[in-house]
Amino acid sequence: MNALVRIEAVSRTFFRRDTEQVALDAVSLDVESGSFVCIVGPSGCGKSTLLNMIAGLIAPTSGRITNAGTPVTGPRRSVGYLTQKDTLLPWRDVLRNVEVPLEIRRVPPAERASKAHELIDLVGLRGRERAYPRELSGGMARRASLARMLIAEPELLLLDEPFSALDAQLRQEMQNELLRLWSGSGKTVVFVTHDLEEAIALGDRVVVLGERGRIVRDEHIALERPRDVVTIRRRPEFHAIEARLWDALAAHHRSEPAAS
Amino acid sequence: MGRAGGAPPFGTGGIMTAAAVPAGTSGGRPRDAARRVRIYGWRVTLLVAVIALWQAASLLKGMTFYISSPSAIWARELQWIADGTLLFHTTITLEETVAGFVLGAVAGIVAGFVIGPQRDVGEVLDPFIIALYAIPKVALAPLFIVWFGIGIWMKIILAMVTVFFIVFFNTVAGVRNVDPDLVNAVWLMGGSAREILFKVIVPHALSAALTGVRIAIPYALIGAIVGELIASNRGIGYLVSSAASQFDTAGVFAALIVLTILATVLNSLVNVVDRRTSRWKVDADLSLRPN
Repeated sequence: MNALVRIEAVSRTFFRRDTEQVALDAVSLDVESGSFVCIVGPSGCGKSTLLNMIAGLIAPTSGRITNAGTPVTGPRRSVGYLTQKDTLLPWRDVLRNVEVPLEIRRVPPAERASKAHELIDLVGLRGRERAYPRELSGGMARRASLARMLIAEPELLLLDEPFSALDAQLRQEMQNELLRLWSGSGKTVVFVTHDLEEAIALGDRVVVLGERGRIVRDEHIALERPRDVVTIRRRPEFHAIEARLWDALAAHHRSEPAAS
Repeated sequence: MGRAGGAPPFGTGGIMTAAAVPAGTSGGRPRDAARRVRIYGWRVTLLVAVIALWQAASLLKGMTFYISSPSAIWARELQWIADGTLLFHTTITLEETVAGFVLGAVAGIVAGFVIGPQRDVGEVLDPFIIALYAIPKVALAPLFIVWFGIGIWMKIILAMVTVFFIVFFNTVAGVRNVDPDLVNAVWLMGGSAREILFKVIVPHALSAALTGVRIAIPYALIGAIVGELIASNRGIGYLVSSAASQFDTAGVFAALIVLTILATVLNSLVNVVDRRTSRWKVDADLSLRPN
């Protein structure tokens, strides 16, 4: 298997009020090209830190991250990043927001607009091109953010709890939408969440992190694709996987009672 | 800047309000129209009543000295319109207001963009700028007379100084309060420092600056009028003070009415600016006011 992202013994420490805090301690992980990897863990386990390092937003204190063989030194255009919070520019309408990545690439205006229209259609926002972010519902804003991320045709998608601010029904709708957009695209996805069910429903592989990013369990999800995130949850295999992963997390917490 | 979690697609004050009549308000245009007619009717009634009372009170012995009378004021207005006095003085005041406003707004935006991004410079200057801002601008008028004479420039500078601080503080706040998540978002797309500046920081700061500009419009008029009241031989402020010094109460009221109309027109200009920018704005004017 061909690893697109290779994380080798990466550690990251922060200083908070003059005390050193270890967010991640010697984490190693390979992400195969074209796979959908979910990283789950309780809050504070370092999963967002890990994602930010893959994105190049922050640098590891020690260790090495490579993307397609090249060391990560900063943000790059081949990576799409979606956070929990909407970061659409409030003074631009949907169309002009979706165009931003292409403006950065100096794509001519006409081509930019036609590509943006195409993606807006793809995420189901046709007719809302001229709406401003404040005029969008939470779900529509997510769709616009997805379109903006995908227009740059990134080969690696980094998603940091992208749907956790949405209500349950909308979250499932967006999860299915994400799977639809991803399937057959060949893109690699690293999806961070604290929701074990979400991770199992979406991923090819679920990596459970414990304290300081320690990998508690790395499970291949042998559920068929294409999937529907609603019905897949009713399957006995789903529950079996969920139980295994919960047990792994619980065992980890017993063995390492509340460090720091 | 965050939109509330499950905000409805039809936000308040959006463009869709015309299409989306709130279900709760007794639906139906006829009733709205009837209510509007009633409101206007009461306004006219109130105005007529006040004028009638005023006219009646002026008939009392010796009262015209204090309150003149609506008929005398009206006669004065007509006379001023006929002999060109009104046009002449209104033009002067408008020139001072507009010139002061434009100069102050431009200077405020430029200074805000220059000083805003430089945190150290800003911190050094901070107490001095706050101190200058705190001075009642009226008190500067005598100094400006010494520096610029009693001509039109003194009023322009007074209006400009007033406008400058309002716009400046808003622009600086706009440059500094840019949401770091928006900056990161553009950075993550591969945007350079230049692109972050022009796609995120400048638009955000400009919107804040515009809020300052909007607030500052009436203040430009105040600056000009104060200048005219203190030392002048033309302008509406001069009309007021010269009439008062001759105990010409009708003249004072006639000038005040012109001033009221002028201020109302300027305020409606504010609303036009507001409507142009409010489509994507969320409470920007609450969080970015100088404080």
